[in-house]
Amino acid sequence: MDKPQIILHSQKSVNYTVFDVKWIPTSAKFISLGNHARGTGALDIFEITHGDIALIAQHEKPTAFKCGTFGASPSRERRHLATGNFDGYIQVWDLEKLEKPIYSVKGHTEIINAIDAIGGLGVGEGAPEIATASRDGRVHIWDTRQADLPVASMEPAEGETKRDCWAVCFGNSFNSSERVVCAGYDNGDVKLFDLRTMSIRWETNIKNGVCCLEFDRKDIEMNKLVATTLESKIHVFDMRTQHVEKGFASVVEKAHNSTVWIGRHLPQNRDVFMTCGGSGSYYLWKYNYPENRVKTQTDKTEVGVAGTLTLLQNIGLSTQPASAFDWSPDKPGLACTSAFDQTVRVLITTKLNSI
Amino acid sequence: MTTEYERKLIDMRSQMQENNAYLDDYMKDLNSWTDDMKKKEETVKKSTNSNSTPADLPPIRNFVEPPRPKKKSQNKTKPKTSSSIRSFDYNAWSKFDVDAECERIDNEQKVENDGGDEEEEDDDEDEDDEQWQEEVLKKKAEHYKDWGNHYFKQKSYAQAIENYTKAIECNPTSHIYFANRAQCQLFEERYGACEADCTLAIQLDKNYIKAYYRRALARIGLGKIDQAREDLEYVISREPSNTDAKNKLAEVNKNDEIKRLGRIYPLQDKPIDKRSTKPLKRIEIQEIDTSIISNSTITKKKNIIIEEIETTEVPTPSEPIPPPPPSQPLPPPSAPSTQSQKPSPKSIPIPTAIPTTGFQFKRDWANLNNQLDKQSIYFNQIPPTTYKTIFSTGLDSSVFSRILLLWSMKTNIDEHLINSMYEIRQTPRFNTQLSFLNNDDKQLLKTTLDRLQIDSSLSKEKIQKILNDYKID
Repeated sequence: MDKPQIILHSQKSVNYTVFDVKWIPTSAKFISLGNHARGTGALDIFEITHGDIALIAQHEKPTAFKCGTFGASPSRERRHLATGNFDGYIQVWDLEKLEKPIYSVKGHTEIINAIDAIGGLGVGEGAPEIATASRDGRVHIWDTRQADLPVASMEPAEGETKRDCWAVCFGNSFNSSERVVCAGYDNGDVKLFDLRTMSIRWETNIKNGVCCLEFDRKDIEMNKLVATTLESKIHVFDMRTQHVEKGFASVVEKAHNSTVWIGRHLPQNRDVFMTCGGSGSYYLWKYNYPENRVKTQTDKTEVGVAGTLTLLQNIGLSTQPASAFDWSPDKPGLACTSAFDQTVRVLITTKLNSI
Repeated sequence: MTTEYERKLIDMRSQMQENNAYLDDYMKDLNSWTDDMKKKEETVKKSTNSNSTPADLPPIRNFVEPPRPKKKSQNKTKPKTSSSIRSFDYNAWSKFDVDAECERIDNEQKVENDGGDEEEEDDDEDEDDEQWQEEVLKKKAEHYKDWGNHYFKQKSYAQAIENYTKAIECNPTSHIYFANRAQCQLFEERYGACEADCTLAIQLDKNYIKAYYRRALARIGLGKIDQAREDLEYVISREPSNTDAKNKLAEVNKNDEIKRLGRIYPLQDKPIDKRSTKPLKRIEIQEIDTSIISNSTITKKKNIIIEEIETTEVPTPSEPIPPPPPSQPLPPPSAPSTQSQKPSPKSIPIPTAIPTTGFQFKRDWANLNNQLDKQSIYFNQIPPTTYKTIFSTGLDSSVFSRILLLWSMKTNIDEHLINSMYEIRQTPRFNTQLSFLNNDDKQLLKTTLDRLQIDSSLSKEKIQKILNDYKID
């Protein structure tokens, strides 16, 4: 009973399919992005009031939204939301003026499956950049200062079959030049692309389509990478030691009895993360480091050692898969989530500081 | 006395109370927090009205700096041309200062030049855009070249070629990309493509020696030895210290010589230490007209007179006919054999060499072409004791009938005839030959035998045997 508790604080029903929810930095509000039945995009702003979620603003846009992020927002005060929609457009919106986007480009030919941003909000160093992953197999890196063309892109070679890219995330951004982008594909490929040398640093295949990728922290030297996949698997890679042939060490955990849709690290503790499954279940995990994270082999090369995962708590909140989950960066333990049953929920996780 | 179970119950209840208390605290905290956040937001919104763009951001990734647009210098208006002095205004002319006017004109020209420069700047701007695009392409090309080099080091030549090709697409003016691609193609043994690439590289830069060397290697692969030699010699002339080129040239020359002249091996019959250490000498072989070989005459040509059929043994040299002594080209025999006065081509000389094998006999006999007189002379030359070897495969029936004719033609019986008859009967299948004689031949044989019987002054035993064996009836 002294394990952390996951408690449903409040929930709200909406009349559209919610694909993403994100906390607005420095506020008690969160944004939800989704798809109306009539095919238009929904952008709603909710606020937590005493014990309840209140709808503050509602916006409708011509095309349905798939994903969004605040990561490239220039400052905590001026909040810019970068979104990807079903038509392949990347748009950046100023929350104060949501009538027109401040940056818009048709970056992909097909739906943008995932988006991630880095360099904003005063977190980390380096230029603010947005990464988008699309069904057309490409990963593009955008800088809002450059219109029309991506700053960098990872594309399949000509003539090769294009695999859907389902997940993308930034990492290793501990100084202004270093940055990596990790992309996950529907066939289980995970590719780590180094933006400083513009080359692939590591690639592997984890056998099942990758639904979500996240580094435990974007703004430090890469430490851990969580990959959640189809067939209820969760992989955690130890990214500190790369072996020439074996790559990174990893630990695999099976949970949820269904596709694991999302994995999100707690901003206040990078060894704790929540995974959300296709059965509407939420599992809270803790990663335990091994005694020695590095092992020297007989041929004098170093190989990493993966640790273990302990399940702290789990809860089942709905019958439908969870489409999004976001920890609040300002309040430890507060999280918002959405599911395909057209509801948004706010969760509270207790006793996180005693882990 | 609380039991375990009760203790556990109590524990659980306390835990739950703790949790609830915790939760309540948390909720209150949350509420106060949300109020705080709202206030914070208000203040933040107000303060963001003063927008300050953070200018310290690092530059955009992979960015090629476009040229700054040149500031157009202000168009200086041309100074007004002073009104020209009228020609009839003599007072004004007397006050005219030539030097000042000259200076002014000089200054005007300078200004005009500046104005012209401005116009050029406009063009430059357009050019700058193009220049910038070119720069971008050049950077791209360099990038592809680096990738190509990387693959080259890893020996993935096909991928290296791809990358060099992309580099060439971006920047077709660099000889290095062509030369590098040529080197990859050498490893892939695509000699034709390599040669073409080297040629292009040379066109772009005549002084790039590596391209010449690689082209030479490609040409060797293609079999264009002479052109390869040219290239190698050029490389050596430009880079005398290039040992690779020298070695290659020596190799090429050696291979060429082997092809042309063939390898020369000594005969292996002697053990090595007893073999001569002298170098092998090449001897020129002259080809002669092959039709002459069969009628070869050797050193001494004998003029054989046909009128007499003599059984005198014609002294013939004992050398066998083939092979001809190598150093003597054989003169055409038609000159010495003038005994046959007929200029007809059928004047075949009688072979003066005695045949020792059946083949030689058959050949000569066939060449004599049924000319009875020559055949008789020829036949008489052959010593009867050699009949066994000559006719070791048996007499031919046409030959036998001819021999019979010759015997019958003989005017007198002599040793030679007796001996020849004696020896002939010892050839294989003689009896079958006898039985297959036709009537004319039988008649001839009969006459010969009769004569033998009559003139039986010589070796009677032999005659007896002959008579016995040549019985036909």
